[in-house]
Amino acid sequence: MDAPGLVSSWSDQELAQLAATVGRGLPWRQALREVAQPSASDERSEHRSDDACGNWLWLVDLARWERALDVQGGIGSMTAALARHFTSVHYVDAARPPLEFARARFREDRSANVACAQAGAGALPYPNATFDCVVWDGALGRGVSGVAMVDPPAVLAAVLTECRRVLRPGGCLYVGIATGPVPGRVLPVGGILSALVRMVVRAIRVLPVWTWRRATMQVRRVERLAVARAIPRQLRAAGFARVQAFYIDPSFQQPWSIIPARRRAVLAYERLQMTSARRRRWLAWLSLHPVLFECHMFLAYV
Amino acid sequence: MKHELHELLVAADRAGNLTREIPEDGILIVENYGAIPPAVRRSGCYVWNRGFNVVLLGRDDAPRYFCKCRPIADANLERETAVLRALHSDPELCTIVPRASGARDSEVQLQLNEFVTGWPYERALPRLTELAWVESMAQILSVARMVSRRATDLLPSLLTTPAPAPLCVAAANALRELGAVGLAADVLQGLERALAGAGAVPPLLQHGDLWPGNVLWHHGSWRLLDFEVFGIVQTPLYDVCHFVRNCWTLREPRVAATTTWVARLASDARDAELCRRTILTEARHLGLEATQAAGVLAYYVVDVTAQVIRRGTPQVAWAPLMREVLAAGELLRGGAALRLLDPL
Repeated sequence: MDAPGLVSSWSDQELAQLAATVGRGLPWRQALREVAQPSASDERSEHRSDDACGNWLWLVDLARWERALDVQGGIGSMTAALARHFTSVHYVDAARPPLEFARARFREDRSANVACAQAGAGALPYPNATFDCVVWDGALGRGVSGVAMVDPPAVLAAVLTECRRVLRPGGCLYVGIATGPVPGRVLPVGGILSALVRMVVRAIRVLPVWTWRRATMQVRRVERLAVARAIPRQLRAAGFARVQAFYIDPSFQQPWSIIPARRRAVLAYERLQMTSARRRRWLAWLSLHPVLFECHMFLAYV
Repeated sequence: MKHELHELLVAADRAGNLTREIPEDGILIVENYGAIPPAVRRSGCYVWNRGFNVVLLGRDDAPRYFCKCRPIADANLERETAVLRALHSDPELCTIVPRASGARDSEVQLQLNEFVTGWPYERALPRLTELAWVESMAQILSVARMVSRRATDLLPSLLTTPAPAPLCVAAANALRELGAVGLAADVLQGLERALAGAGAVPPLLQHGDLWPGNVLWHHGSWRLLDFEVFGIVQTPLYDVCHFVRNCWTLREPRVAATTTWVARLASDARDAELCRRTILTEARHLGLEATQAAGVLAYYVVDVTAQVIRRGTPQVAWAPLMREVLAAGELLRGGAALRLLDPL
């Protein structure tokens, strides 16, 4: 699992370099450009890629817009978006380098309504019912302290329960999860479907490498079906009453569209696309739309 | 959806059907350009952004409304809503221009349109025969001409000046901006000379972004979309140049990848001849001479490039347009006249 453009796609060395660069007094945008986004050309383009990631907040139905929490906040892009909608925003991350970077970023931007703290997603240092909104972006993209990453259902259960605990009644949890087509480990969730996926992956390992890679990518698309089924189930198990699923197209870094994960809504979206292939429309028509999108977003209400 | 957005949608919905037709989760965000509220730079200036667009889905998940959401500081949206309302009130234009209404609060403004179903010209264009392409371009440009002419009567306040404007004066700022990003002085001088030689043209409100993506075949007639910059450009034939260039790019992507449209226009290729003929025919309908048409063509490439640069887009976005300017400059080298559009 990998979240394109999120902190999880960077090495520990890069994160440490990022923290060291802002520690030397370099502006955070410049540090990001030098270390993490060498292709970014100017301040405006940085803002644009950062910016649009927060517009999902217009889909959220909340009675109060007072306190928000960004769990595993990374470099703070989502925190910055939350800070424009909520009175007060808390950023937490278990790792030191992204935390140092985020502190420098919000200090430099004079974001008076953002507070940063070091904490793991599995043990949030807040009392029950503290926040109106909690964000877990790039879920399963990084490790959660105290829980083994080899067991994603356990990670999900631990973090979702903790997020549910700190949410006020009527509050909303955002979960962003990316299912990248990178060869590697298959997420063992989704019951029978995931077991089948694992069996297929094992079977194709006997094939030549290039065939295996191509086949693994296809299998990973099927794995998205498992994600689409497993996450809502986990959210309900954690105590959330209402769950809405969306797709983000093409990626979290460039969230050009946010589509309700329903058959006819996806069909309507595909018809709007100039380049949409007939095969995509067929898959949507067959209700296999989760395989079409890498980035899944869930809004769960208490 | 956020309560604030729902309230604005209800306020913009003059017919009062929206709440009944659209479920709470019937919202699809498309063209998500930038955040609302927008990010603020350290200097305190708003970063240019266009917010996002929304398709509102009915209870059967079929698109019902199209809605543009913009930051409150965006000046174009309110203007566009006013333009659309004025144009839609005209009996001749109500089948061409979408019906729109607007609402705003202290943070966000929106424009609500009925969702127009149809076949986008952009999608049909690559598969059209040569004859069908030329005919459809003529039909669409005739519709655009009618909108421009009616708009000049309906929205006289948009006209900067009723008198003919010299092209070299209209292009002065754009040329300065191109110079600022490194366009060579001899190219600038060549363009200035050509624009001065073309003289003045009578003002005519232009759509400003008439490209195949903004044209829809709907129930047996052409509809124009996206009037966000309508009337800002007031040079006749500008829309024609923009439309024909974009049509050519979509029909001839391989040629467009290796050569500029302006250079191609100067060639004997069949597609170039069709483009020239379309532009000249429209110029005649607008009462322009061939030299004036050539002047507008030069003005167009200069202005459209400067517009994209002005938005702060990275160089990679405006470099292809700059190559069009350089191609025009190349044709004008040594004081030559721009003879691209001389009558055939």
